[in-house]
Amino acid sequence: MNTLTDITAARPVAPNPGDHHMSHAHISLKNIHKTYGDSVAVDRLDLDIEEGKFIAIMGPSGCGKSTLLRMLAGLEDVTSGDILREGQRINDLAIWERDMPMVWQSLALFPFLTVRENVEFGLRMNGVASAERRTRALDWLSKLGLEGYANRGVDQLSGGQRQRVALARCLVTEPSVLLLDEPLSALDAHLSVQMQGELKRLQRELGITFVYVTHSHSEAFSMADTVVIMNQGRIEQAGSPEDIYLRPATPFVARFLGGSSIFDCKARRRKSGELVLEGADGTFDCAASELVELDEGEKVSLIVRADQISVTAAAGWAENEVSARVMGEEFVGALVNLRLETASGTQITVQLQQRDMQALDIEVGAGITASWHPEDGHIIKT
Amino acid sequence: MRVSLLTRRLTVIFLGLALTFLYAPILTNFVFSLNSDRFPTIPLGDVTLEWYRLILADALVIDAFANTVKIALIVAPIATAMGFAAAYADYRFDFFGKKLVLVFALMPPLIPLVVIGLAMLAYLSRIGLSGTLPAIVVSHIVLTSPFAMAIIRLRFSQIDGDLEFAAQNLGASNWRAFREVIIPSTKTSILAAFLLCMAVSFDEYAVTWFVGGLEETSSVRILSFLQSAVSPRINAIGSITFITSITLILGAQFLVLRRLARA
Amino acid sequence: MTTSISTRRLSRLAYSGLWSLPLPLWLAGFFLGPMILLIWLSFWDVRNFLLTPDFQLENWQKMLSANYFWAAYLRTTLIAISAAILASLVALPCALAISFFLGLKARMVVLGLFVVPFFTSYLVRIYSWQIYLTENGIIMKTLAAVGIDSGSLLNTPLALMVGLVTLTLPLVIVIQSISMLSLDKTLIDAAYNLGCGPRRVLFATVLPAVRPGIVLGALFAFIFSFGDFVTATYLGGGKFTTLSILIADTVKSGQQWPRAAVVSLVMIATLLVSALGAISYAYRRA
Repeated sequence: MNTLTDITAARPVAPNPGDHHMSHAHISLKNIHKTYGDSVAVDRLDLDIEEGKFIAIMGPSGCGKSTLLRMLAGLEDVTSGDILREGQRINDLAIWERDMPMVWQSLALFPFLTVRENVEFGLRMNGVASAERRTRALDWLSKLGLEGYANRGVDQLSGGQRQRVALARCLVTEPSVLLLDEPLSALDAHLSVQMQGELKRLQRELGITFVYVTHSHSEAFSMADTVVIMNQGRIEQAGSPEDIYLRPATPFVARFLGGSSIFDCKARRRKSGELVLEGADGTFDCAASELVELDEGEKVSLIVRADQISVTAAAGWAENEVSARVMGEEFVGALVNLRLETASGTQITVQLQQRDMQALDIEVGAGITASWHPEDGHIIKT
Repeated sequence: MRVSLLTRRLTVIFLGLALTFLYAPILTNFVFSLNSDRFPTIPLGDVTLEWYRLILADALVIDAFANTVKIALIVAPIATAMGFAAAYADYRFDFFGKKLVLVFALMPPLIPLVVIGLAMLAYLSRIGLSGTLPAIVVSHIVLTSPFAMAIIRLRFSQIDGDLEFAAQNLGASNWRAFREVIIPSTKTSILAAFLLCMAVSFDEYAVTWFVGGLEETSSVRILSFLQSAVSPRINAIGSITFITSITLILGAQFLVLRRLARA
Repeated sequence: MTTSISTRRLSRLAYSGLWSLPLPLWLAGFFLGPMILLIWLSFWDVRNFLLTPDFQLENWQKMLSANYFWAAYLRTTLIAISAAILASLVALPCALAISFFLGLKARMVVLGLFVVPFFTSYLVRIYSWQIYLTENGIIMKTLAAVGIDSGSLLNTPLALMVGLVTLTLPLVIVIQSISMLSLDKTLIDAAYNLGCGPRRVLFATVLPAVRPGIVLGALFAFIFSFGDFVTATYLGGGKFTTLSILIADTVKSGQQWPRAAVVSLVMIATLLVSALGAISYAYRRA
């Protein structure tokens, strides 16, 4: 792929993200509610999308993420609540009045038009003269490495090329927001990773807002400035990828992201006065900073990431210990994911180096002790 | 299927025989329309165009043909438009009872023609239409629009449902998106439906005979000839009818299959 | 704000209504209307050769107790069932050949060739069959030339079947082929892998799997044969009075439309019941 270095130069009106205050809400969803008959698709949801940011909305299928995107584009009516853009309510704007081009999951390229005619489409709808349309379309095609394909039919292109035509078709109209609905789901893994890099670079250089819906962790976490995790029409957590990875706000987020072990516990005060967490699998210490807002008797989930748990053949070596049985192992490159289960049925995932695994020399069904440092446990009130 | 070459060949030969069985009456008709003998049997007489000359001099036949063409040219555009509208509505919108409406719309070709004929005759004579060309037109639209709807709906089922919204998303209004996306995507199937409607209208005789009264189409004229006597004139009219409908159907098939082959 | 919402919704409603309504409205006016009138008509009276709107059961009583009606009903049903079975049996090898023994291109062309006759004048083709089957017709002359003496084939049950198969075969073949072509080919391979011979594959795997297509094909053949009135008239020579002939004669000769309406409604009821029966049988889980 060629470079995209001169993109900003080609867009004289491109907003410079530096000119705006960092927390300027470009698009605001206020108390958005959407029902289909009796079923609730989006449940009184609030979300601010900052200008020039790459925001990824993810969640399991049916969580309402696509509905949310379609409401932004005007493809679905909101049942109640407001969609604001630069403070203006846009609920009542028709699809064609919203100026939020979308990259569709199916790509939705027009099969009866050539590549260039596809890219020109939005300009033609907006009454741009044919000579200018042509120049701008060809310009974008060459920026995305599609020079020489202008007069082809879209069915003569490869998957990655079609993807770029879909992008060019949206970006040529110089929008300030781009909507993307699982655009990479049809590509193979290798091409998808390559496109992720390109999309991120494109977004940064253009400085426009990307709203990206996906069910893929790797897509969301590798590209987005802000990740929004949805479940059953609600936002479970919104934050930077790092924030969500290190500090999942709900047990759902921890489970959805995977790779963490979750212990259901209750806070109990020791005679010495300090709080400990007591659950079916044992009594655990936790960092004081995590315990600050906790009262005796409160129910919590204790989350421990797989890379922070170690295993030993014998007990009595560390503070937070749990005895468990080995259920299975998965090799992921140089790492091994070891799956354990405690007597009470709690699932534990442990990530080990290959060589440590070999040193342990254990078999499925063997008893083993898992442990972690109190500082590494993360508490979520339930 | 893995079967012996012999079985394979025998089955294909049987297929050929079935085709022969279906096309024999059509070919025979052409042969006897050019045969000089008064009675159609073998051995054949000389080649002649006499029967064609006779029917072209027959005012009843000429009137019937004129009616047929007039009717088909009014029926086909209306039936195609209505069939298209219904197919597009089914593709694009969801509404209560849609399935029921679709089944209802596909019913007319399944009701015995004499029954529709009787019902139409009773109904149209109550509103003062029976025995007129409009009566025939009205009935033909009922009989042909289901075919138009089916053939255009088939095309819609191959179109990405997001396309029209993608056009709107890029700034095209409802009507603009319709013009820019739906029309180019469906135009060949619209033409195919048009030809099919003409062919069905062209060949319809039963309902036409009931509601047409003294107004005759070429198919009804053939029916009258059949009722009177054996005559090679029937073969001559038959040849003209065959050539017309076969041309229309082959045209429609070409348009539909070209699409299917590409998909 | 509320007005802008309602105008937008209104224009959307207008747009969808514009497309959704024309055909249903037309059919409501000129198909459903006549059908409802037909029901009403069956209760009318004929006084002094004039149709008089009424509500009396006499037409139903007269028709349903008339022997000639039931004879015609039985005859029509038998003819239609025979034609459906015959057409299905002839179609089966053809559909197998089209679906399994022909290449893609040949398949398209042959299917196309079967569709054409369905839309070409059946009347003229009936006339051609008369030429074949009549006394001193092509078939008799040919048979005589090789020393076989046959009577006229016209006006026999055979002639009827020839006509009805001509009418229905194309449709049956196309329906059967479509269901065979949509058959999962791995099913057949799996059967072979399990050691089934070709015959078992056909009877134990292919035919059960395409049962919906076979049943629907037979249903359509039945429907069209049941309603047809020209075959019995011109190839049966009027010897086989069917329900359709009964209706046509009643309508064209006199004013006994109410009785014809009764016959019509019985026909529709029969077709409806057979269609529902056939469809539920076709898609019943094996």
